[in-house]
Amino acid sequence: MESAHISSRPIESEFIIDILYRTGILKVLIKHREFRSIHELLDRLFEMGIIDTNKYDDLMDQLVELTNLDGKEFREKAKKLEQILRGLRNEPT
Amino acid sequence: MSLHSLGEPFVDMFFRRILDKFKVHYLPPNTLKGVDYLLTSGEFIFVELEDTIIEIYSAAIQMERIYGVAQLYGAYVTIAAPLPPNLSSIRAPLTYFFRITSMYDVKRELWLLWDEHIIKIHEKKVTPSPVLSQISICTPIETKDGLLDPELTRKLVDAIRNIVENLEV
Repeated sequence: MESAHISSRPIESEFIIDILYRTGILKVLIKHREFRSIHELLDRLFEMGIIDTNKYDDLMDQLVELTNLDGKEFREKAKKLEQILRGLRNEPT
Repeated sequence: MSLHSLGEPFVDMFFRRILDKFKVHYLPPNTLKGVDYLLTSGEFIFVELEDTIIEIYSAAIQMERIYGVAQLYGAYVTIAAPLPPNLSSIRAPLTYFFRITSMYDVKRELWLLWDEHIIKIHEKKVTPSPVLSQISICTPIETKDGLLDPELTRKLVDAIRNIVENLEV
């Protein structure tokens, strides 16, 4: 029932990730533990074909870990997730 | 029929029909604060019903006023939602639910509503709740100190995927 996702990535997707990063929205979402919004972001990226199943699973691993953390550990893991999402701009699917 | 994203009124209609069909006694929504249903079948089972998996994050917080009461009665706290098309999407919300509830001595379950079935995810060390057993497929999940991690949730998703594939054949 899970569908395979597209490998082509429209140029608009690059802009979306770029805007999220440059405006600081990504940082704010992660910093303030907005897990629901981060999750929704991952779902949209997946549905739009910007990330494939494997990448989605990897990012979900990060989110699973984040939900269990606090303090310094949380900040470190949050930074890592932000970097991964930022890196999607240049990563071929 | 997939219930995912149909909207809460439809999911509620579906859920209530199941409860009535199997003659489960319950207090309906708007009776108790902080939770949709209280099912009684020898044990208390508090159930928050959601129409999408993503709502689990809010449900886990909203039910905070119930956890203490549930602990007093040794009750189950359950979030029920339709089975999502992307099974992996249950991993983080379930982990979050387990994190929030880890400081209470309550029995936690996630029910995934699917067609005529309920995939009942329960902690391995806890006996599954004694309701709707006729249509439930109980799926245990291991925890570490009451919490989940990426590996445990990946295993769970594999198990659910097997269940779904077997039932779809």
